[in-house]
Amino acid sequence: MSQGPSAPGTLEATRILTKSLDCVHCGLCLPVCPTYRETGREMSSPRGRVYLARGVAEGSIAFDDVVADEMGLCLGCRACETACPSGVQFGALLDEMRAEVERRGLRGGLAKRIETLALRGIVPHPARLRALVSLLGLAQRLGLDRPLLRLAPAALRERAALLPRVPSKADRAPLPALVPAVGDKRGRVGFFVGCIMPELFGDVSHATVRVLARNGFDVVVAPGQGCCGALHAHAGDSERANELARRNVTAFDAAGVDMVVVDSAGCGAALRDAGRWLPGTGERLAATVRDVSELLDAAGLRSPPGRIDARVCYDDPCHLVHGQGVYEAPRRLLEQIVGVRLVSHEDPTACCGAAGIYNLTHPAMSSAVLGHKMRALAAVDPDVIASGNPGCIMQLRAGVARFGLRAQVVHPVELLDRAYGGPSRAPDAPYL
Amino acid sequence: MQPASSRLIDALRAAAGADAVLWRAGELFVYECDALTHHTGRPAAVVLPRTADEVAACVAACAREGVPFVPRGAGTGLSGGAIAFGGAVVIECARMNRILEIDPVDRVAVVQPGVVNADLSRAAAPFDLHFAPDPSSQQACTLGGNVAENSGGPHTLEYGSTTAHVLAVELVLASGERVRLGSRAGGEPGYDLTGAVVGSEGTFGVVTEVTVRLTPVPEAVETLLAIFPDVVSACHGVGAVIRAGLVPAALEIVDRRTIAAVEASVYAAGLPLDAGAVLIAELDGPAVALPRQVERVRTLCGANGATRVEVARDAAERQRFWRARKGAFGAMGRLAPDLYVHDAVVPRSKLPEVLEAVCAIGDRHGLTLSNVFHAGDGNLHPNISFDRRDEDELRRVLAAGSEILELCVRAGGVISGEHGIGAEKQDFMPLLFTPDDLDAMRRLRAVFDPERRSNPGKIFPTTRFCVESNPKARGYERVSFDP
Amino acid sequence: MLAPTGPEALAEVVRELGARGEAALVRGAGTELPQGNLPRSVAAVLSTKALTGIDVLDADEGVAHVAAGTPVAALREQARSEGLEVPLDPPSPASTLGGALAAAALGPRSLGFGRVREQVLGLEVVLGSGERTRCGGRVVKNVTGYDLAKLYVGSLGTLCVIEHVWLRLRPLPEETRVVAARVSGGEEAPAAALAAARLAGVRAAALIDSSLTAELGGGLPEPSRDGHLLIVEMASDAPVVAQSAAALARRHGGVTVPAGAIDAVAALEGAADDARHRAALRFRVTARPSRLVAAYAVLRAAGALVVTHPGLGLLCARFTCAVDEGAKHVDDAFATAQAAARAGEGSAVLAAAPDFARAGRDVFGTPPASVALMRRLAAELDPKSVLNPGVFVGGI
Repeated sequence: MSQGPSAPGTLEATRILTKSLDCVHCGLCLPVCPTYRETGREMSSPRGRVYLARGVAEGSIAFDDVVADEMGLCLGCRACETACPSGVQFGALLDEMRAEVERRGLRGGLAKRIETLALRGIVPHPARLRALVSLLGLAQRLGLDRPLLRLAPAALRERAALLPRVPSKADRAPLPALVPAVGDKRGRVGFFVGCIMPELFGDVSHATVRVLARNGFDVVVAPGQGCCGALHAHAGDSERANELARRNVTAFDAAGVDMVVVDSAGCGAALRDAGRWLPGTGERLAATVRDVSELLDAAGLRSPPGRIDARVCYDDPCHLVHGQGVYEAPRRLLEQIVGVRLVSHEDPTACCGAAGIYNLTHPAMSSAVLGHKMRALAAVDPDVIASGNPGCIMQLRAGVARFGLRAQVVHPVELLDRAYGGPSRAPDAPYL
Repeated sequence: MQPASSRLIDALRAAAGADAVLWRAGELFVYECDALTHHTGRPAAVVLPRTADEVAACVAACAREGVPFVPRGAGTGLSGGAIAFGGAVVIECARMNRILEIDPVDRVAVVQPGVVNADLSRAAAPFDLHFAPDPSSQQACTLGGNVAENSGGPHTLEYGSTTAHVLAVELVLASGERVRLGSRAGGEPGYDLTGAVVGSEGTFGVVTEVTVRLTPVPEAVETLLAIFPDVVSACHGVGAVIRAGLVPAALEIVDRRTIAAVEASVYAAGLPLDAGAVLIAELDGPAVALPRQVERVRTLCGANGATRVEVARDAAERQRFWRARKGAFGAMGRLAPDLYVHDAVVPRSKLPEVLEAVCAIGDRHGLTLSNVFHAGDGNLHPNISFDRRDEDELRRVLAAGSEILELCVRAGGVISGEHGIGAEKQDFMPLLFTPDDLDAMRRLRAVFDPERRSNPGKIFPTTRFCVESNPKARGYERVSFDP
Repeated sequence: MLAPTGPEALAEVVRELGARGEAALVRGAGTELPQGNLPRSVAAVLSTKALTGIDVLDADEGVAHVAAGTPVAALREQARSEGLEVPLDPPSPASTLGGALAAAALGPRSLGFGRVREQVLGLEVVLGSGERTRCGGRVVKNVTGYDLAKLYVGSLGTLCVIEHVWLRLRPLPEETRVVAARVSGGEEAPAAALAAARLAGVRAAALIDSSLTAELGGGLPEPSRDGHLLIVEMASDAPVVAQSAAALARRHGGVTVPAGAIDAVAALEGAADDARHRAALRFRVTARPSRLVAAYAVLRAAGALVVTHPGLGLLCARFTCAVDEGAKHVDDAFATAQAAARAGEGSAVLAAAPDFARAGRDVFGTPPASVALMRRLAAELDPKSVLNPGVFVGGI
């Protein structure tokens, strides 16, 4: 039995044990777990992972590769939390376990190197991220990306297929510090920008701000905010997650807003979890966090004048439906667009396999999970697939290409924005 | 646990493929129990075959090595039926999850054993058919498990347990031999071996294919929720409904303590926390029949003390009513680390007195006990929340459990209505059966598995348990259920 | 003739036979006797007729505990006085409960009642090896121990003698109505009848060849020439019966007929009328519902008179032959029935026939592959073949 940070009786072990004890071993989580569905293995199910956690915390089994690998194989989609009748906080338990894996140095290999580079070297540094994305955009425009990739090793090539088209310069332009409400003012909200979104999905960020303003919200882009820390927390880097949460709390505290609006489900779920890192201030921030769909649905959407004739399939980001419990709101919003026919596929709340950078660290499992999703979508053959999370959008776009679907993959706010007329026809505000 | 020989591991790999065999300590650890957590047994290895041929090869490998095996589905069983004793190999059927055929004219489905119960009903829904047995774990439990345990569920009242819906099975015997029993058309000449396999708890071999009857989705459904001041009056309400000749699809009672747990969980159904008991009555069938039946149930509940009776206005509300019932098990898990879901049946008319006595037993042992049960067929489920790490509490839980079973048998009942005997109640079998009765069962087992290598250590009494939970050791007399 | 008067005496008789190495033919009322193969040599007839009595008829629970020699009709009468129905449909009202269970014969009303095995909650039996044992219990839901009752039901008395039964009872329906309709001839008739059998509240549905309808007695519409008569019994809530009757009237011009019509259908197939049709060979052919038409066509082409129970997937086919036509005719009829079973993906059994037709053959046809397990079972529970030797599948 290896001794270490989580040897039975330590603070870490007690935290893990306490969370694991909520599980009564009923097994209702099994069928919703992507890795269990794929493997049929108990230890690759939520119940199994909780049991492993309990086992190491109680000292019944060694904290070895089996445990470490299973914690790594989990997508962190938290579908199990929705299915769990006894309220196991699986996501939090998983983060604790991954932190243990890190502390014990039980992870290595390519997956670990990719993760370290991405999470430590790039994501928390806006300038580096921006430079990298600009480089990628240039390569894409010059048509150099594909020839260059042919030189890369196979493992890298596969992963590179997930890279999105870099948006135009205009779409990557910084957001104004304040965009005033259009018409009757209904509130003042802070917009959470995030790290990847403005670079790779700047068009979505702009669309979100426009849609919020058109719905009567002053939108403040608080300076000093940064990455939400979700990827770090899920990778077991609690130190950096804590640091990033602190930065955001400070930024939004200073902004004086009613709500903090997020258009990336993964970031929203992480911000709602800020209390875990910062009791008190973090909890206060968490209480004000709203997904853009949730806020608009609660406020009542102002009818968009435009029309979009399309069969739209809404696909739930895990961290919105399972992480934040938002299911109906985005569907209700899309239904209000004239011409949109909402269609449902077999399993909209199942993970697509993106799971942060899981598609980079575990390409085989990610691809298998994506396969299920794409077959379900292909059966419905929609014109548009809408999903409110950057990772999911990238993954679904890669899936659409690989499985030969004709659907366009967009963020729901892009459809709303288009129905409002988008950026071009701007009646009464300079920014719009 | 006995460490598996490398020869066994190699043989299993040859039978089902290298990626299908688990043998490392951590991998086996998670298979040490199913949904009954206070009995454990670690397997020597776990194998995950995809086809009947692979199952037969795995079983043959076990036969060659003289090793026992345990068939397993989703591990949602509540009697420890999937626990591996004696260094057994777990044959996990999760990967055998294909629906092979749905025939809407014959109203039959042919499935592999790892198909999830609810998935079959979902697949049959386009034909207006469903698989009627609906255990509370139906979103997760598998057909193979349902066959092994003869699973029931709330709608057993009208539609019967799994046995009423199984037409044929394919079985791999402990020798590795494959046999087909029963027929799709029904009425195959000979003994009803299929009927004997259903409910045999995996002790006859591994079921590798099941042919089941599908039932038409009823034309109309009405669900009533009746609030009673106490559980006794709710039981009287149930008795009145049955005596009036109504055959509801389900009659379920949730007691006050369960209501509190459910309302604090994600399954919150908006039940009044001050209700003494809630009765969920579901009526289904031709639309023309239901309005009168709804009124009769409403009247009978009122006459027996119901303070309020609601009728679900739509499917969403029906689901809300049922959430209160189906989420009860997991929701009780919020109260303590472990949950012991008991299962016993008494004659319906004995429900009020038995329930009162069950609660008294729980109180006397200082336990958190609640009741949620299939009142229509007298099937009790006392739930005890506890912490298995507390040895004294575990002892009290087991003592209370044995008293509850004894009580139910005295009342003319039996010790399991739908969970099975498994590793949980085997030492209580003498409460109901004489040595000759049990011997007849042993002789039946010998027909299928003379060496007792399929799921050993289940159903039949052993002396494995501690003195406190062994009725024979405590000197209980067998209680007669003769009139 | 041995007729023990109590369970212990019954066990004593079975043990005594075993000790002497002798066998007995077990009988209740004898209404099922022409079923199964001719027995191998038996020293005695063991009758359950002295084991009678309804110990419990619990109307609140809807269960009864009854001695096996009790006539089903007697139980039915008492149950009805409590507003309950005995969900069994044996071929003769004189059948004993034990006999009805041992034969597990389906009757027309089995469609509504369900299979015999579903009605049995618990059994007390004397095994062929002489022990008194029981399985199941009095409660309506039970998974305590192996479901041995499933094996005893339908065993034709080869494993044990049933001594007492815990039986499920059902509420009497609010309304019962029998409707008869002419269904035009042709091989598609069984498919139309299947749709009728699947209407709500239908308890029995039989399609009767025109040449058999004369035997049904009066009060029924004349079938069209070379057509069929469809007789449907509905038993349910009044609005349901009215709705389904209306559907039958609309589809087939069905009219209400005397309630005894379904009993007349049962009598058509019953073994009790053997005196009148001494040389009748009665086959029971099962078929998947989707293959009914195919199985029916095979039987009709060979000139069999057929009563089809579409909801049960059962075709009752009658061939008639004179005794002096001998075995050849029987072989042909058997071959036809088996061809029909193949077409229906079911099975064929020579359910009732005179001794000469049963002699030297297995009335169950070629046994299924699982017969090896069946033999092992019989060897376990009746190791000396004391009870009904040879009458069952494969000569068990």
